[in-house]
Amino acid sequence: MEEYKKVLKKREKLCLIFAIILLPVVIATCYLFFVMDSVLTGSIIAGFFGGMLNGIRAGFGLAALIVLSMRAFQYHKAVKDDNKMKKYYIEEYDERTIALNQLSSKISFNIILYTLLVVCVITGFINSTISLTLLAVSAFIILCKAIIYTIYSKKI
Amino acid sequence: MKNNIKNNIKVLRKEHKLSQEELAMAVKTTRQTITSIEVGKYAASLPLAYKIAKYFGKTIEEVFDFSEMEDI
Repeated sequence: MEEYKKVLKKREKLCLIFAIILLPVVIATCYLFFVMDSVLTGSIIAGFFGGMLNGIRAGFGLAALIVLSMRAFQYHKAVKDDNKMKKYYIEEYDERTIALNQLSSKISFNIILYTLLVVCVITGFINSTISLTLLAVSAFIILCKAIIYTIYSKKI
Repeated sequence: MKNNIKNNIKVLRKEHKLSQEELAMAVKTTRQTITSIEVGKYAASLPLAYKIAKYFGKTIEEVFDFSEMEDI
């Protein structure tokens, strides 16, 4: 449990560091969204899409900031409370949860790869650039899997 | 996704007057995992099976029934 305590402390620090880094970015995007938006826009369509993009950026930034702060607070509380820390440890290292994550990742990977390959073939008839890009992405995914598989086959 | 490994965890749990949550905490797993093992939806790993058996003071074979497991 002492090792896990160290891990939680490290995570708390990382969350705080990322939150501090993110804070000026969020302030800047919010400023762009609320103040600069009307200045930057030339037409209604450009204004709409510009505003939408700024809104998405500000929203995601703000959400990430809130999640990071909450996580840091959770870890801080868990480090001080042994029962809470034990609960987090059990939830994190529960073998069924790990098995579920592995299974869902495996299935998602296969779905993504086969969809990419099918779309790659279909777009080949319409636009060769898109098709080649998708082919390159598929090849990269397959290459990554092959490399990781080789590394782990030597480890296990 | 049923597996062919039956077990008598539920019976042992009742004998020891334990809830799923209490057993889960004792063997450092979640209540959901114990539920899934009891109903046969999930096959426990060897370390977890050993922990459960040890907790009840039994051997793995006394807790888990491998007789219906398919031969390869």
